[in-house]
Amino acid sequence: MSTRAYVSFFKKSLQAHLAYGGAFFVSLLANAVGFALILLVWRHAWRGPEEQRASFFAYLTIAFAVNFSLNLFLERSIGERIREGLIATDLVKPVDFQRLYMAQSLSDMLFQVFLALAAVAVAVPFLGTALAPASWAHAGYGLISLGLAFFVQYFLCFVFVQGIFITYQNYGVFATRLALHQALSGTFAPIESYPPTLRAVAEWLPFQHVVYTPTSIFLGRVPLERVSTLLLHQALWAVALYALGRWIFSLVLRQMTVQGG
Amino acid sequence: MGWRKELSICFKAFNAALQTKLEYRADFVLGLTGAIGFQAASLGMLSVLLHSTELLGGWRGPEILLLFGLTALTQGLSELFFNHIWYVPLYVVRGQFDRLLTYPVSTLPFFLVTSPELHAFGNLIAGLTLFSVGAIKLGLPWTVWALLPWWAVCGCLIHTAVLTLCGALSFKIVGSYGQHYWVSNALLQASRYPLNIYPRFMQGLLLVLLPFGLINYVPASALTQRLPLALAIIAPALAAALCVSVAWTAFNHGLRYYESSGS
Repeated sequence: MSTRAYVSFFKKSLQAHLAYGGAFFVSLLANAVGFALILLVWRHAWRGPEEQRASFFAYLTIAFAVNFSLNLFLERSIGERIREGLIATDLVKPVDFQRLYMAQSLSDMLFQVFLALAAVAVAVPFLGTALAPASWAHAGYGLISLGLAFFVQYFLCFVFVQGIFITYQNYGVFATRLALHQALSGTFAPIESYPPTLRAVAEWLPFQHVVYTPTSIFLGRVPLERVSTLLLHQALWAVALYALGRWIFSLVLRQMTVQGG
Repeated sequence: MGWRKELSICFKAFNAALQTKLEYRADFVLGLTGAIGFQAASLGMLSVLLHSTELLGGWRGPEILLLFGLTALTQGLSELFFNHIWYVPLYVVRGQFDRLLTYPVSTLPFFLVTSPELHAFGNLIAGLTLFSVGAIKLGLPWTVWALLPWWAVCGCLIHTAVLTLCGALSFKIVGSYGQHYWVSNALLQASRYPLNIYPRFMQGLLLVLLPFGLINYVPASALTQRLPLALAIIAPALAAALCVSVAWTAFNHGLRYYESSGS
């Protein structure tokens, strides 16, 4: 199958975002409120050296932007279609199911990146150069890492979505993934500031590669000589999750029942 | 129709909806673990904060657990009895209020009770556990257990009323996912931390305009001798009554803007 079908699906998804642009703006507002509250809590709780304060808050800001950009809502979009039986029409289309939804998720990300950049712009007067990448190399690697983070996040969501084919409801799957994401991705704080046990767990799981890795690389919290190792870890996680998702999906298809009618 | 008859219809509808939900057993288990996982994740965040500083606004870990517990209980009760409010945006887009508007009962209460969520039990279990751990560690007297249902019910009504205001907005801000609900949710989550760490305007917002602080901060402050107990008993109830009446009026007003989708 040529990529034309996926490109077309991508464009249609983007148009759908534009049709509900107001709703997405409200989504940004909701996320920004959540982010502002994190800032307010940390403003009070921060006890590190004063010279690292701006760098810490810059981390939180870029982490927010990355996290918002990679909110994929896959459980919701696929979950509704499974529950209502509409998934049958997706499965009979002459396209690959996993790639079809990847095209939609890519359009989600693209749309959200622009909104997130607007939110970062608001922080510039307060944090100034602390928000800038450490070097051109860090900026470049940070963007590559963001691209890999998309794949890790998408394939991670895809693995979790398989649970909806069994439970027919999306909340449990969504809540489980989001809870793990919130605790282990480094959205709330850089992973090096976690308590030892939580840090050890976070370092063994892929969630850190969605937010913490691209943010840390971009801001130069990671020395350049370690960047290639981190990018490799991200890529390996993406491949592993892609393969795992495809394998579970093939098993799920054998036993699935289409709802409705 | 009299209010008793309406109440009986709502109860029957709630019961029937609950039976339907119980059919999805795998989701019940996953929802339960997911909700408990959410609470565990927020505890993880708290542990990161307390790893950085021992006291947060003068509050110790067990005292903050009271705030977390009360918030989770409030959320759990609201999800169990009134979760349908989250579906207003979707129903508006799809024109699904047509059917509801023809029923010979008040639309809002009937609508609210007809989609209980079983993952609510996860929040209720987590909330009760967090509150209990906090209360035991602080050596609080047995009377706190007698007051807990009162605060949980008042909190549930306040939380649901604010969500109902968001629902009312959905008749104007059309979009299927109701992102504006998450503003309210984010503010509720914010109230799990001692309000004195926030700037004055935030404290005012969370104590007066959207009084989530009365759900958890005021009761926990009373339990830890920071505020008089009488205030913690009366204020949440008054706020709940006021919030419910404002939200109900706003929702009925919002319904006037409802247009069927025609699909």
